Amino acid sequence: MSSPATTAPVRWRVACPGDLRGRSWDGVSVVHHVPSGDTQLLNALAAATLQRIAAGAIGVEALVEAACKDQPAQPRADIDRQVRTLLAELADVGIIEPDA
Amino acid sequence: MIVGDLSIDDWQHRMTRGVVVRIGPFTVRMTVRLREVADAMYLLYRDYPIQPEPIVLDFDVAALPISWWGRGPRMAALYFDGVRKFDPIEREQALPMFQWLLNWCIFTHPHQYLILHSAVVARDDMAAVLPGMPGAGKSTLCTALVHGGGWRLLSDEVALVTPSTGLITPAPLPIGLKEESIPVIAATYPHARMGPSVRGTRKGTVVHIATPASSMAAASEAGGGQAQPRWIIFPEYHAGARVQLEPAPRANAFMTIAADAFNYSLLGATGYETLANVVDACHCFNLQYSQLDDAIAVFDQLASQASSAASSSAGSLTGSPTGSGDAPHSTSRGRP
Repeated sequence: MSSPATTAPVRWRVACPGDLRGRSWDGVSVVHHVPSGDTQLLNALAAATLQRIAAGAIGVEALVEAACKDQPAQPRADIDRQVRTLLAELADVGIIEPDA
Repeated sequence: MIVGDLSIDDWQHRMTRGVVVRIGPFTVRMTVRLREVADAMYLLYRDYPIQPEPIVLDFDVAALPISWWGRGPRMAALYFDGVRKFDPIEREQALPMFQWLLNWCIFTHPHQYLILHSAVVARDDMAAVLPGMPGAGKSTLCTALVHGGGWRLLSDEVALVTPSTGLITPAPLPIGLKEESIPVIAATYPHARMGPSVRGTRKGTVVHIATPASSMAAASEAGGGQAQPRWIIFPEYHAGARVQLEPAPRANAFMTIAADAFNYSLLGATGYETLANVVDACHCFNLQYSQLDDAIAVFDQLASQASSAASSSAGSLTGSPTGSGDAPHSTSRGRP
């Protein structure tokens, strides 16, 4: 039986907001995560998604919804998959974490 | 006093005991007890300032013979700060290896700078940063620009960027050329002082070209000849290709340069911010070329445009290129 914590929709937040640096050029962002030393190249969707998380804890559905508005021509299923993949990758490198 | 003020006999004698030479911001004691290497260095380092023995040395390097009475090639050893470094080398290859040792010192020690793997040339105080994969023609182009194009050499191998100012400090060493580029440069720029040709190195046949006196003079001026990065240009030689300059995506330029930098990771957030500021301040291009004159013309045109923009827009040399009026890109800065 699942606990309430695992069944509740996950909201994501930036692990340490002060530890994230970013610059954008021509719609492509380069983000540096200070604790890990990782530097990531983010496309427009990834950068916008990370920006929304940095603005405050937010759930997957809301992120997908916002991304769909940014890119109305893209199928929702594609965007949903991209956002979930991105969240997993950002969590793996410690940039984001579930909001407790 | 510069090296050329000494007679060659005096130079050879001093080199056996150690001569302190200024290379950009660094004081380097060089001890060479290999006569053929000292002779070549007299030619290559003629315009470098000689320092009195300083209290603090940045690098203490030496190339000494290894005693050998058996068969096989004569060998030599390289030393850094009195400690033998690397495997023994065949004496015939001591000159390029000693030059490599000097580069290694600059690649691996001065972490007060962000150290990018790139050639850098400048017109006035505007610098062009030329990253390039091996074989891209970076050194050949760099030689052409400084010996035939009126640009000055900051370095053939490293861009030393000061984090607090974003300026690039010159640390010029003789430019290393290899294989096919050697006869091209020898024929095109016969006035360029060229060291002896050394065969059988890991890079094939190599020669070194002396840093022009004008570049050395600029590096000795007040401010050390520092320059503001204005262009990042990825050169690529293609035989027979027409010259072509195309905008390069800045974010990709950032990632390429960061991946090849010597201490980007070591400097952490400072490295990131410093490189981001460099990219912010520069126009980024891919340059394809086959003819050196055509490539020089492209560089001259960029400098001319920047100078015109600077004269019509005060302060544009130190600002974002989007403010200079000649920017091929738009730039935004944000925190995701």
